[in-house]
Amino acid sequence: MSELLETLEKLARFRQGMYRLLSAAFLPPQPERLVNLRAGADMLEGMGLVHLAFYNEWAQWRRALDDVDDVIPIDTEYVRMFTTGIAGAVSPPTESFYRADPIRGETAEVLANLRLLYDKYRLEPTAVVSDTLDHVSIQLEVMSALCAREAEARAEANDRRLELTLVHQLEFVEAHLGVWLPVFVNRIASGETEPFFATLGPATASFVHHDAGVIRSLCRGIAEPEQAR
Amino acid sequence: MTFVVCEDHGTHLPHQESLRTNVAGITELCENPSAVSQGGNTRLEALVLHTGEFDLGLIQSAIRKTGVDPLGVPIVTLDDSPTAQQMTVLAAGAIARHREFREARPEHAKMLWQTLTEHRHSSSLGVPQYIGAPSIDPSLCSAERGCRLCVESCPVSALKPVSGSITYDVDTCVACGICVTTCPTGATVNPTATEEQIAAQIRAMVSTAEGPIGIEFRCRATKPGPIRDGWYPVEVACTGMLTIGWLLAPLVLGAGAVAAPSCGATGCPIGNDERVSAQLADASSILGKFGVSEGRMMSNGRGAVLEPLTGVDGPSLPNFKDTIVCLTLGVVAGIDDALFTSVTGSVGVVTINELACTACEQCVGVCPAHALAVRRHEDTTEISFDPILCVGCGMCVSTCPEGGRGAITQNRNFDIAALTLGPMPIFTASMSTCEMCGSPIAPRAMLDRIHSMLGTEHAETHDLISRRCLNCR
Repeated sequence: MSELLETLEKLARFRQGMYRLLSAAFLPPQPERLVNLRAGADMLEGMGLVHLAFYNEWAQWRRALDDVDDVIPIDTEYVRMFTTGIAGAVSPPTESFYRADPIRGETAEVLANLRLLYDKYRLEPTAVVSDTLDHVSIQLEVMSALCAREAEARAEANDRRLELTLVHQLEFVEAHLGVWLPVFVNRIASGETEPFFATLGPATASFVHHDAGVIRSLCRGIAEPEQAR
Repeated sequence: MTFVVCEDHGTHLPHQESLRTNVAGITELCENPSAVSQGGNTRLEALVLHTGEFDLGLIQSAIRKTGVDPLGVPIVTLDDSPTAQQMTVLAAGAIARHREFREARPEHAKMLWQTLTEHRHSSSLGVPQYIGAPSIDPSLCSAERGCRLCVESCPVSALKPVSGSITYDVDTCVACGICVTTCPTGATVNPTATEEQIAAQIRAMVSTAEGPIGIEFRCRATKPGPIRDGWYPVEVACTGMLTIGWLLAPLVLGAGAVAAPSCGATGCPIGNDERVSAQLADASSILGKFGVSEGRMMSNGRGAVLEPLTGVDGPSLPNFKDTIVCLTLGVVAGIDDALFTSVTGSVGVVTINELACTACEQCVGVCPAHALAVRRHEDTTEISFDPILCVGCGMCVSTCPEGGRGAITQNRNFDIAALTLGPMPIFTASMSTCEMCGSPIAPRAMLDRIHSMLGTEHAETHDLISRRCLNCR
């Protein structure tokens, strides 16, 4: 039996790893990072990723990842797609770009809301892209951290902590990541880009969509015993 | 391309030469799903397995591993051993259905992973299973016009209108497909059971069979029965989704008879039995109007199947809309002028009372199927109606501000002659023009109505608004 299907704790660890890996994939490509991505991908596949519906999208990205033999072209493409580009980034990887009108000051509002949420979750973004709280990489990392807490809570049989972290996961996916990620991915898909990024978007969106369903089911799991009492 | 069969229980392999695809027989495939890749390096198209002997989640994982989306791979389930010829017919249908599968997006995979809801589950979670679920294309949806047909038809209240669009609760949805066949614009789609797929499957089965065949629409949840007397199953999400068009379409596609059985002794778990019975009775009655034996429409696939209707290889069938299928059936039956009422059909004939209509165009604005349209000429406004598009929802009637005066009526009639004509003008209103600049002011009928409401007391006001446009007053 695949590892991820053994217990809910192992499923949480698997999800933690998926978010962590995809978060790293949206950071600037570097030779060492690509090596780590491949190693991480091997590990997740070994846990039984094939049993989940987003496997086909994942497999396409995996092939693209394995096909990268020179980091320079995708590093250049990363700059064009996600950072400065010639006329600005083609697909800015930040929530505020898709959900806020900068003229009306909404960018600050989005960032402030996220800061409040991160404080509520007691999380501090990592240093790599800490200047943009709404960066896709940060948001995927936040979900990874929340999944790690879920795994710990399950290991400790700490029901209160488990409930809290599942509520946080659902809140974050439904109010932030799950809302703007599909729009961001469509924008990546609408322009020609390297296979690495063209396949990374659908793989991420497909996983996050699937995981939202998993989280909803897990939340029902904690709600139903209480209703029965 | 590959068709893989679990060879246990003496299952025969289909005739490879008829199918023009690789056929592979594998023993113990039900117990050992990873063997699906043994068919070679070709892409898997369809599978034959035995009821109760396989884990759907594991089968889907094995298919996924071959690089194919399992939602697009039909699984034919057996609980007996059909002959090689019967297997060939089943295989031809399944392969044709697979080849019409386009693409499923992440939202089309509904996860069935019950163990996740079990609090602090300690044993194995089991492998998740996925079924095809519908999605709504907002660019085609008529919710902004006020259409709520899918919301009203959903047996589990999974759809809700929210500020001009429809939201869909994937967890509540049971993927029965009723919203898909109810949608007047094709905005709601389940890519695993489209009209194109079903039509391709039926056509392939008809052309492969050696004699007449009956099509038994079978609910996804129903245990398959033996294949006998020329009856072949076509799986749908739920027989409750079958409209008159879906029920009659197989006859136009060359089948000799159609059946839609209910879900066994306990009935439909979401309460669609009455709906199925009503649709079957209505479809039967329509066959009678066309002079076609009502024995071609049955509640279960039993008994000898009649020969197909003559002339079915002539007309093409673009979709399963009730009006289109009835019109095509009329062509097959040689009937070009018939008028009859339908109880359940998505059909309507709209008429406008020229003495009461003010040409306000509200009916046009709310029509979800775009059956009503408006065309403006220099000094007239014309409202046209296309009966082939009308779904009989009645929104035009309920919205009409002159409804109390009978300005617009709708009958649930199939008018075969009218269906062939396309959009026809049903009301033409002359326009009042501004005496100053000559631009149109409003339909004369509307101004007359305002006059009758204002009475003689406000004659000056009326005189002004009927002679001059807004800019020249």
